Amino acid sequence: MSTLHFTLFSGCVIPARLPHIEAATLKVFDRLGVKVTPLTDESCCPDPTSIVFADKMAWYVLAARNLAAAEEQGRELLTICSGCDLTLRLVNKELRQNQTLKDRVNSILKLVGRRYRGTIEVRSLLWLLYEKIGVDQLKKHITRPLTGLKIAPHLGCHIIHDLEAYDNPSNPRSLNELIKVTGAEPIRYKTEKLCCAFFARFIDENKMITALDEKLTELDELGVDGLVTICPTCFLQYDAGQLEVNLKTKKNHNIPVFYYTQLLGLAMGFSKEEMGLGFHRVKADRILEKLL
Amino acid sequence: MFDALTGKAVKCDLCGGDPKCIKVCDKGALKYTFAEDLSKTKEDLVALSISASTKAGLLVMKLGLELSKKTVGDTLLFSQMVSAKAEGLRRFLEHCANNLSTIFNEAALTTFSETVLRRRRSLGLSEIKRPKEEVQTLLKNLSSLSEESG
Repeated sequence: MSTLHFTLFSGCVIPARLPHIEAATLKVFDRLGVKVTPLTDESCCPDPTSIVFADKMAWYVLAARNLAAAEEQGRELLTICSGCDLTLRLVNKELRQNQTLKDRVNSILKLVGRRYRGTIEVRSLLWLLYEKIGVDQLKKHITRPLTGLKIAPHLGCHIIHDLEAYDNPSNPRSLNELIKVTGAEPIRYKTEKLCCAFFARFIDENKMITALDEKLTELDELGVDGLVTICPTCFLQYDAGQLEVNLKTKKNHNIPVFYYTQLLGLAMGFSKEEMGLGFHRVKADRILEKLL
Repeated sequence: MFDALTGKAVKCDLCGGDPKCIKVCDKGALKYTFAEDLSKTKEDLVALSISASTKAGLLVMKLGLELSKKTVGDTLLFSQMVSAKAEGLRRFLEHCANNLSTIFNEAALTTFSETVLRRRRSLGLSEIKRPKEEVQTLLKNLSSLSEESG
């Protein structure tokens, strides 16, 4: 396979709140032969769930600024956060299709010496692993299969737009296949598509707790060993959020949550320290005992 | 169902497991399937709606609750949330709109705290520099644009 080299858009949630996930992901990329160069002058994507409603033009302009900066670096832009992926993907698509909007955005970007051209693609982590590298190639890197582990996938909502190109959005299987690569058993479950309810945090906390609890309860009943996601916000919701649920409901959910590259890294032989598992709120010791 | 010929209500016997009504309904509005599969289809629709929730969210805010009820149905958490707390949501979005510069400065530009920077260093991660002045220039010009048009 030719060398894969991308400009990396790390976002804000991962570098600021989950830097251990960034570190783990970079180690896995390195082992897979994926080279990444950080985007110079990266700002917030911006967030596709609040800023876009508050000021859509600001959303377009700031996202286009990031895309323009990435175009200057010349390589495809790789995202490791589903929120960033959605914003950058949608803005890239809309500006490519709408010349008037593109001109207006560029008239503002001109003030800071930038110009959006629409010349690069936005790529997601899921696309990179599942579509570009592919499960067969990934399998070659597995040195410690996670045999015997039952892992529940949680794809999250923002990535579904991206799936249209390589998976079936109404019945996605990419994340399940990627779990299978690690040697673990991906399980299908009723609340698989229930959202992480992050947005409800600002609006109705009880609804958020109910939604989290519903999924965690089903996973408890199924006796899964862990939940895996590719979205840092979903990760925070189910990891730190799990403690909130326990506090509010007096339950004792204890389901370790992984960002996908951490699970893959464990199967590739990286240690739990290298994969940053010590930083998780719900400890994965139970799962690791089975493994090591 | 009502049998017009006999003038009596009769119970559907599913034509012995091969319902003819399904065959004559060329628009595909009728479906003979297991209840489980039916709810799965609904789940799929809900998932798709959620997928679009960030996008649909914008519509929901602008077009109000009716749209969300029509497009995503009552089972969807997002819709329930909006229905139950539309006022809270409106306030939240108003807050976002009124505090854009603060939000961008604090969240969008991500001012990293010393604790975060220390942790990044201990993990061997690169320094992150945000283009604060550039973003502020853009925001300033964006707000003057909206004042002109508003």
